[in-house]
Amino acid sequence: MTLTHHPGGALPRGLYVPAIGALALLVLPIVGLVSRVRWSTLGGDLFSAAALEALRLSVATAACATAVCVLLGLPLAVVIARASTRGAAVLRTLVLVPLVLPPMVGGLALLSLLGRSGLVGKPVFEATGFSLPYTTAAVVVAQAFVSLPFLVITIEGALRTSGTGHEQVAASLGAGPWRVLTRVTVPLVLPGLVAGTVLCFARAIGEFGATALFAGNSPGVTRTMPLAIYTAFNGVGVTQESAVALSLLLLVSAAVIVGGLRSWRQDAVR
Amino acid sequence: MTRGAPGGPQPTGARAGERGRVPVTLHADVTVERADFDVQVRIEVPRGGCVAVLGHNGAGKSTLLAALAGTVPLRAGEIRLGDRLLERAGALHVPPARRRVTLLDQKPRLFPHLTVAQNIAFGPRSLGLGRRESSRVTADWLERIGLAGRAGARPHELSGGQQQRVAIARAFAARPQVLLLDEPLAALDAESAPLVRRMLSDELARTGTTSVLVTHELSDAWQWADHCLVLDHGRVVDEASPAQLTAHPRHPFTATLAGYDVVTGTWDGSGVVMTDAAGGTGAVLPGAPLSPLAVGATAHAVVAPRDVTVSRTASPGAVHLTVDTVSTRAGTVRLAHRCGLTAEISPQDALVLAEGRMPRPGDLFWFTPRSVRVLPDEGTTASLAAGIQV
Repeated sequence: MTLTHHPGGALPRGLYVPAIGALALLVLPIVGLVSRVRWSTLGGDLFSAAALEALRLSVATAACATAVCVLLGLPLAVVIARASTRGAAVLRTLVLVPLVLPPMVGGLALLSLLGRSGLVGKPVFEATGFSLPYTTAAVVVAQAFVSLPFLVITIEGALRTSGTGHEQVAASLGAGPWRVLTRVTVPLVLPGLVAGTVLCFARAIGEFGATALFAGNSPGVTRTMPLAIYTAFNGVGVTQESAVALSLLLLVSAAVIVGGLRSWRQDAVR
Repeated sequence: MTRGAPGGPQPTGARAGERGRVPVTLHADVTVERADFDVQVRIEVPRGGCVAVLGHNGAGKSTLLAALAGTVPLRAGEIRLGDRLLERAGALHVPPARRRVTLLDQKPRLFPHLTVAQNIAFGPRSLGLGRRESSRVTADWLERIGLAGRAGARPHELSGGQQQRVAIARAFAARPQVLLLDEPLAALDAESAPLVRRMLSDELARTGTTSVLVTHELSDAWQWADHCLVLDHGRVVDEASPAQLTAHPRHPFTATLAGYDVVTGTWDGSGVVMTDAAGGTGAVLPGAPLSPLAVGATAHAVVAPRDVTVSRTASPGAVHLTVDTVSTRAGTVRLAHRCGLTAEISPQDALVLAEGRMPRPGDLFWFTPRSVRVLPDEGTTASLAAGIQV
């Protein structure tokens, strides 16, 4: 593949200038970040106690959030994909709003619902003395809130594309609704399910705004990698070198995710 | 009746897959709501028989199949399979999985994530057969469709014809009581279609499965069906054996399907007047109406192209028409007017007609149709019944 070969004839030359500008905007900051990495002390920066703690917490909470999203999001995606046109439109809007919402606002919304004086949080606190915000569980909830839409929309799109023909045939061969779902519907959208799950995990591990507001920034409990990076530049917690090292780690994992997704999709069964 | 193949493979006794299969009669009298119109059909298929449903795209054929399969609800009526009630509008609905009514359409729709063998085993496994029993049934079917060596292949590794053979095996392995065939050969190329056609015929005959066939091709109906329904706008407009349907179509669509030309105009008491809609000549095609027609009513003249002669001079019953298109087919020359009237003549006659050259669009000749059948128009009949004078 070459960049210049184009079946519709030559592109206007003026198009390349803004295109290169866009690429520079996306790539140059990454170059800048990589240039700040102090390679000689990278191992030490990454494996300092505070950095390691943030890394462990991030992976654990993002994995939990992703599991929650798959368990809840896959059924929702199936419901939306098989709903009537109007019902699907309403449901899709409800799913998309949190996606477009600034994560800070999401965090505030979660506090208003689940906080100690929140809609649900208050009666729960008064009855049991339990309060969710500022716990590790709150990190998981915040991450799930922001990443669930990615999973639902990806899987729903895959379901819509695969259609209902195979499902009708399966039912006519004697398969009940549960068997159709598990043996036909879900396997058919497996590429979409994997893509959605990976996107969901990537979004969860990078979550900052909602976590900061809803879960706080307490080391070892709610201070995930993004919060640790932010805190470092306020002069607290991990060193700035560690922050850069953690950023590099997030960058590398993002690159691996994008690259892996690409090759996996190309190998996927049709 | 042309069902089955006397010389083909014969039943090999009570094979695992066929045990417990009892041919049943399908009765359905259904009304299904659609956005544009209701589909209202009464269909009865005798045990082991096949009824063909013919019609234009969007006439309601697939909606009827969906209703029989249980994927769209009935607004009125019921579906009965032998002594089993499958559905009664608003009262009872047996889900698709429990009907023993299996779909086979033009796309194989094999499950891409399963192997060929797993695809065939899908029905038996869904019906609760054990692993060993269903692999025996599957092996049997793989042998029967000539793909015993491809058990572990994925569907996309097979050709289109092979995929459709697997789809047929998968459908029969589920031991359906009724098989719904939605143009099962339409997507196959000319090379693979005959083999798949014969296989399907053999299996229908061998298993005695009751079937409903949806098709555009009268030849498919000839091969499989004992009886045909012609659907238009959700209603049955013609109903007969395939032979009767071909020889004596009673609806314009059936006539087109059987290869006749249909010219639409108004009835003047002795023939069909070619009005503006029919090419605007005002000429009259004399013919005999199938049922009494009111003067002025919309009518359809049905003519076979071989029954139309063309000459340079007027004669009784001839109409003066401009040739709009000239085509050739299998050694004959076809001269057509835009109203639909076509004459099929020999190349020798064509040369004589145009005085030594081939006829061209724009030539003016006298067309004489013999044995014109005149069919009433549904819409006009209805408006006359409502007392509206034309």
